[in-house]
Amino acid sequence: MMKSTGPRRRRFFLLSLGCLAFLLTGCWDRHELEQLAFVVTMVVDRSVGNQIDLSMRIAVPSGLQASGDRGTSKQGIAQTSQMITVTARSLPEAIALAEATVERALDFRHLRVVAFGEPLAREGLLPYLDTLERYRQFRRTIYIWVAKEGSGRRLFLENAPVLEKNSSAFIDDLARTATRIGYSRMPTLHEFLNETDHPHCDSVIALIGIAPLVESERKNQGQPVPTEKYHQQLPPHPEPGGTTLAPLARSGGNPVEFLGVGLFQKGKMIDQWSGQETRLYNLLKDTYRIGLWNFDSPTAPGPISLQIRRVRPIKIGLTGSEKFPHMDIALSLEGEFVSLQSLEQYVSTERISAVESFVTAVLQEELLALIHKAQKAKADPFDLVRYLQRRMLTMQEFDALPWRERFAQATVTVSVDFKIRRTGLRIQPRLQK
Amino acid sequence: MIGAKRQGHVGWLPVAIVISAFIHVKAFLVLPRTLCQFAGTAAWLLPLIAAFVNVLVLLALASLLRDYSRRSLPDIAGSLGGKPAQFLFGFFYSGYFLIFYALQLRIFGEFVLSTFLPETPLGVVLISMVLLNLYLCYEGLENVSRTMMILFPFLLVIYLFALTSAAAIGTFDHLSPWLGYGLMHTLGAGLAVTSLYNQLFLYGFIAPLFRGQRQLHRSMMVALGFAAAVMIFSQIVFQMSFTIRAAQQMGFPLYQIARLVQFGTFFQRIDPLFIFIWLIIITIGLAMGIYTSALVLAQGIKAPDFRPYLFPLAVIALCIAYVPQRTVDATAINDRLAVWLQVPFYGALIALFIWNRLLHRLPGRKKAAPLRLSDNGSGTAFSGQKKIKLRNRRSH
Repeated sequence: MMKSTGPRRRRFFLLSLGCLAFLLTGCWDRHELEQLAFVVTMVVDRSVGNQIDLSMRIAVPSGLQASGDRGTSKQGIAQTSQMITVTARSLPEAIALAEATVERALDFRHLRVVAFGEPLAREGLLPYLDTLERYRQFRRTIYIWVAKEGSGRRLFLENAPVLEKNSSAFIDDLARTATRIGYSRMPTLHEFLNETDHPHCDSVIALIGIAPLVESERKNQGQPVPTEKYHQQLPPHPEPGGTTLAPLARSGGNPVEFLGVGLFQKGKMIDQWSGQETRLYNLLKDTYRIGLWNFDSPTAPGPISLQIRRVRPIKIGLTGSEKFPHMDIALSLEGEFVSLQSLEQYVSTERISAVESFVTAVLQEELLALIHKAQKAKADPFDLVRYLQRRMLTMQEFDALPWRERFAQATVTVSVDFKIRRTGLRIQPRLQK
Repeated sequence: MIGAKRQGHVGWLPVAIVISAFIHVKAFLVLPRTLCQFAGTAAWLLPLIAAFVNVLVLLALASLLRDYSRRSLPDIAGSLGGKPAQFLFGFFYSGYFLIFYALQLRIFGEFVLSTFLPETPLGVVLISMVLLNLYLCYEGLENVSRTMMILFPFLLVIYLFALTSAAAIGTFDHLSPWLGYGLMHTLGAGLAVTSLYNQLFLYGFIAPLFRGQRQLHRSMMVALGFAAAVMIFSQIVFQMSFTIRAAQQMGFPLYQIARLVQFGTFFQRIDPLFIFIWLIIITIGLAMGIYTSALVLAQGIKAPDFRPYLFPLAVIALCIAYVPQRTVDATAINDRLAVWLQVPFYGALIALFIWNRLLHRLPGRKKAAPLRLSDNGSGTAFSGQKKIKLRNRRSH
């Protein structure tokens, strides 16, 4: 048993307690909520004289409470946050200067997204990402976006969510939707940095664009244009939505749209891929889960629509010589009919396989086209090298591998195992009379 | 001596857990990064290799302690080499644990300032931690181990939850190429970091507090196994979460892992919860550091109690903690000393073991036997003495 030390122990205990009470460290780093200004979104753009523009949206919690259900969402965003822009030589300098203009201490711990203007993205993001990675207030879980063209600030000024009035909730919703539909990929800072740090891998960032027609509607009190005028403003033969980098043909809603990704190599944007290409990218990267797809009907005019789900992880086999490798890429997908606009009688055991073959051929062709595009750019954003990495024993061997050159010269075959498992809530469509 | 009479007997499991926490302090600071710098993608193998080496070390230690009925290592050194050997032994190990206590204290202070208390003076953080450590270890090992046993289930569950959640966002691909910089390099690095588990040496100083040799042996192996399992798991999760290039430059790795976990709107983040776990384990681990230093010093100079040395040693530790001018200096000194000092650290034990086995075999044991009963005052010493006599008889 312990030897009793009685009063001495009590004295020591009280003394220690007293000392600890005096030394409680909260006194120096005490921060009350009322003394903080939470930055929820941030945009970095190239400015004049080799400086940068740092635009920040600072949350106004009282505005969130006051706005309630009244007003449009654009008014809501303006009510619930204030945007300020500061020009400086670096991000920390801009933050320090911004603090001189805001009555409270800026706090970035609730920052949800950092967007970059297109010119800056083409110059290279690494110098700015170092601040985001190093400074304690930034988390690696923030999302990164890049403007499709021009400055990011313009996009943030025009941003008017359809429903959300809270910027943080808006961004969380977008990230969820992007994963669900696959037209975009929203990597976090952590994911982007991991891909950038990889010696043989390249990365992508979500593109944000603006729909000019919706932007002009917003300037006109937010009233959607009449149908005739809407049709006049559309191109005569528009490409299917999302297949090019052009803005979507649409009226109303948020002028800002999230389709496609920017392709980055060593922190610099080298190319931009459309929404449809991003879906194919997600399939190859194995980040695709489920989405609605549209295909031309194989035998009759009118599209067929399917909901396609990834069944098993992608498989990649690497064969061939060391200098000229051959890649066998195998995807396993399953689908469900969502619409048979052509009204063709495809839903039978005999004819459904024809649709499956058709969809398989289209997907294979599109996937190959995207891989060839990446090979041309000598970029591997799909992380296909991981299948080689798993076979390697030493880092020296892996680092010395000229993967980008090998990937550019590789021959590729893509096989898609696609089955339409379900037909929706109806079997055959109505017969056309 | 400083035996069970003053500190109370200890259970094998609480001690195993508290020593695991003692070992794990470094994993909470910069160790995962250091291992990645040593062995690249094979860094997670280093704690495994070091654990195998430490099994041998522990077997040697257990054998030595058994031969001397669980007397403390400085006592054994004293009975083999006289008072100077005992003093040198105690002084060296006390200094060793004190230096690492001081360096880890400094790294901890810098971590606190770099992450959540940037405006607080460093001295306040260090002094607060030192006072808390002194308070925790003042009543001896039994107190610390019982405190740890109360907190242990919560700490383990939250710690594993945090790491498992982080593992879910990582990928096994980051662990390849599997042999890092090569097989021989990895094996060499594994041997170079044998001191990962040097806190297990504490068993050599607290052996008198155990009720029996079996309990001591079991506690040693459980502490090593548990510490190695948690350390390997933490390292794997860390490496899964970051590419090796990023991992090699990551400040405060496990904290960064906790910051990656995000559960959406309902239960957003776990890092505030993780901070508490982190602080509790570091506090208890650091308390064990200053306790070990004081205990070994007292054993080295044959003092009856370790407590009078706690405060002076804490003051010295604070002074040492201020020696490195920068965080990078503190980390570099810590890493270098951990590698270089392990030669005398393990060398002293091996020398003692060989001396006992080869040179001191018969007369040494006969001489040492009468001292055992008076040392820890527990009845179990007798059984140890009896065993040794029987073994000696067999060797005749």
